[in-house]
Amino acid sequence: MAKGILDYELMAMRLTNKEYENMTADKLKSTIQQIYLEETGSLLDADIKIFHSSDTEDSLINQTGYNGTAIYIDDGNQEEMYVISQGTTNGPDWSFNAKGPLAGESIDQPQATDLFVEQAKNKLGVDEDAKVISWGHSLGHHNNAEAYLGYGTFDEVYGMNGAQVNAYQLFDMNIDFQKAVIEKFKVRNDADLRQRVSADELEVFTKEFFKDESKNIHQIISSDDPLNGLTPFVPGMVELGQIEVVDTNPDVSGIKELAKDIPPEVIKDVQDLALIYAKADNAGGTKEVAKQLFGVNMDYLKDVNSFGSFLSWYTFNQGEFDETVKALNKSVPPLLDKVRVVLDNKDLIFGRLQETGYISLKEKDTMIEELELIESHLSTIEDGLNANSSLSGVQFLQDISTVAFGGSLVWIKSSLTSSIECMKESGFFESLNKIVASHSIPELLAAMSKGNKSYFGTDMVYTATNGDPIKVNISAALRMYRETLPILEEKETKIRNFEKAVKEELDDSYKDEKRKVQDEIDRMESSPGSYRDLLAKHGHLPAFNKEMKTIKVHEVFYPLENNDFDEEIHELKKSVESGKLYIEKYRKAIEDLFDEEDNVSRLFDFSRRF
Amino acid sequence: MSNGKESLSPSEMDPKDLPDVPAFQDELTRDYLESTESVREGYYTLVSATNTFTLDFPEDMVVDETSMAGNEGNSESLIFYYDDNDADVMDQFIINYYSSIPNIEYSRDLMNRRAGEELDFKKVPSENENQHLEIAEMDSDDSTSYIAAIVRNEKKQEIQVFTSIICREDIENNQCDSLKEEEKEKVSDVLKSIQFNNDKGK
Repeated sequence: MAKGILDYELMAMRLTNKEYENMTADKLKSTIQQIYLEETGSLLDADIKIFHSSDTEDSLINQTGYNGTAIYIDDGNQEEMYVISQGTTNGPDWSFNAKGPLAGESIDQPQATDLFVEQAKNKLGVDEDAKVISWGHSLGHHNNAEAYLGYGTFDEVYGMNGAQVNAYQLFDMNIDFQKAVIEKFKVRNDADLRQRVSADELEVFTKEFFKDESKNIHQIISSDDPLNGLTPFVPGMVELGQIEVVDTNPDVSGIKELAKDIPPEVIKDVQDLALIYAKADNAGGTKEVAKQLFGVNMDYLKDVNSFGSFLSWYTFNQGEFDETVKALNKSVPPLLDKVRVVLDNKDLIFGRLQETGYISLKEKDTMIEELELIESHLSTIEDGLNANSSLSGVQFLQDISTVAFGGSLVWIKSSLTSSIECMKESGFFESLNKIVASHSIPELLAAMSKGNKSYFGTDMVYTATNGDPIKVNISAALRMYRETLPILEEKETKIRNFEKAVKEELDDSYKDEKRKVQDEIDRMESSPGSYRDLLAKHGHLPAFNKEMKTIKVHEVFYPLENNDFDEEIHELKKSVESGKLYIEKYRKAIEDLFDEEDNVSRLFDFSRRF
Repeated sequence: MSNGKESLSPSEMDPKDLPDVPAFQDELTRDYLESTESVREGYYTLVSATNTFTLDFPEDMVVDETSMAGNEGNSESLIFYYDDNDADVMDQFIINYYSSIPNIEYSRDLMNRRAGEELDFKKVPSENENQHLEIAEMDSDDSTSYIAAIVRNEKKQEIQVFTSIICREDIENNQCDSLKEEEKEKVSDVLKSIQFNNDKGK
């Protein structure tokens, strides 16, 4: 990778993960500055401009679901634009990744990526020759890499646990590539390519064709990343570029080992089942699962607790019964099929999960036990449904399978929840979360420790070099140091304003009032004649002949009391000083943990300069 | 529509009652076709999945299964080609619809980048009002020709097309040349027939 301004792998990883927070342009700028400082030890002296995809007026970009940020940097020597494309982060989403865009169908988001880059270049005034570098995690990398290979959107692509590109999509996007494929395989259209050329052959050719471009694609992938584990199962999916594989979870043997020999269609069914469960569970916990899974209105079954009550419900609430049967007819067979596929392969699936260290023996046994229980009840319901469709009402009631059907329906209502609870309590699902965590950037970062530097989340952690190996979250320390000063300064300003207010409002207005009274006194003393009417009460016209000769006022002004805030203001000022002192002491304490050559002191100094 | 039978869309009709041509016999393609009444000989009106444009669809072609409408109908990809894989010449249309592209310079640039060469777009008079059509012929080799096109209207809706025209391997160069010329005419007719559907859809 040619050196760019932000061309450091760890910077890319940390900023790409931070970009998910959709922060304001100013906050992102200071985040870039801080991460640059932490990674390089020096200040980033450059002009930074930010443009987010939600700021475009173009509806097309946002409607495809594309989300990204363009960062323009000019350090005086070179101009560059970095484009971070967001991927999908949560559990069920990566599974959707594999089904939707990665199945070689939609090119919506790569299109949106190109359009966004074009708009960002215009808005930020990026020079034609400026290098455009893309960073992306998960689906974000897929979008970036396809835009690069299909449209030439970028100069460089850097991916983290990325979804790979699809050769069938590239065939329709890049006409040059299309020509080469046509020439090589003598195919003449899309269907021809799918039918007559094996996906493996196409993948090999794709790698060869994009050999030069591959030099500009860099990827870091966790060997435990579940998305990466799926790559071999998706026809046409090609891993391109210089790839660095990192074992981010050494406790398990990696996703490829886990998926080995398990037929792709079984993996797909497991995925589907996990997805159905995740969706139902998201909707409102275990209690909602039954409703979500079967589409049955559980209120109808409120009073159905035994076979007797089932019969009376069936007899008196035919409408509800029919609706329930209809829902079950739709939901049970496909669900049952998947449960059966999983159970048919139970030793392979759960056995492998256990062998590779993802789950415990107990978790494995509980899962199989509960799934078998669910399977038997669902089978009974399916049998009952089959009978119901061929029998009339009375016959259905007399049919032997009805008894079992009712029993299983009662079980679904009352015991399915506890069956699912059992699975949950076994810790199985938590264990599976380990798999999903391996798709994240923080787990990649955690595996990237170097010397006394390591990572926690997206923060940098230093391990103390003086004395005990104390770990210090240096990012958090710098943030605190940096962000406290403005807070203390603001406090100082407020105290000054308060001091001023006390002076103005109390002292000054006291003086003002005193002056007004004094003025009046002066006026009375200097022209007593005009106060003659004050003597009115001493006589009446026309006999009134009194005159005012002099007025002498004996004034006493009491000093203003309770106006002394000096003490309080002093205390407030002291609190600012002690805040500053505390922060400096904190800084000093951290610095003391490290040798001088760790340059921690410089980090603190620099952190206040952006 | 004069009677009840004709008001059925092709996808609702019994395949036995449909014209015996690939466009109607292929289940997916049938869904795109508006009616069994031809617009001109051998062509039927195709309505895009997003209901945003129509074109004259050749009866001997079929729509590829990867064709699809994008999120919220703001984009669409439509791919179709001759059903007969052994045809002397094979045309494949790769059509991309976008609900909004800021300016045509961007589109030309994107098409150039996709083609890997500078395309020489020439404006073609459009029969459809308020629509702009430009077509470029790409450099071709002996057996393969490419035609690129941009259709655009004042609402900034846009359609970008790449069409490949490929002779069967065993066809002599001379014969291939004349076959390709013939196909270019047909392709150009289809491109000219593209019309934005301003009344319906997004």
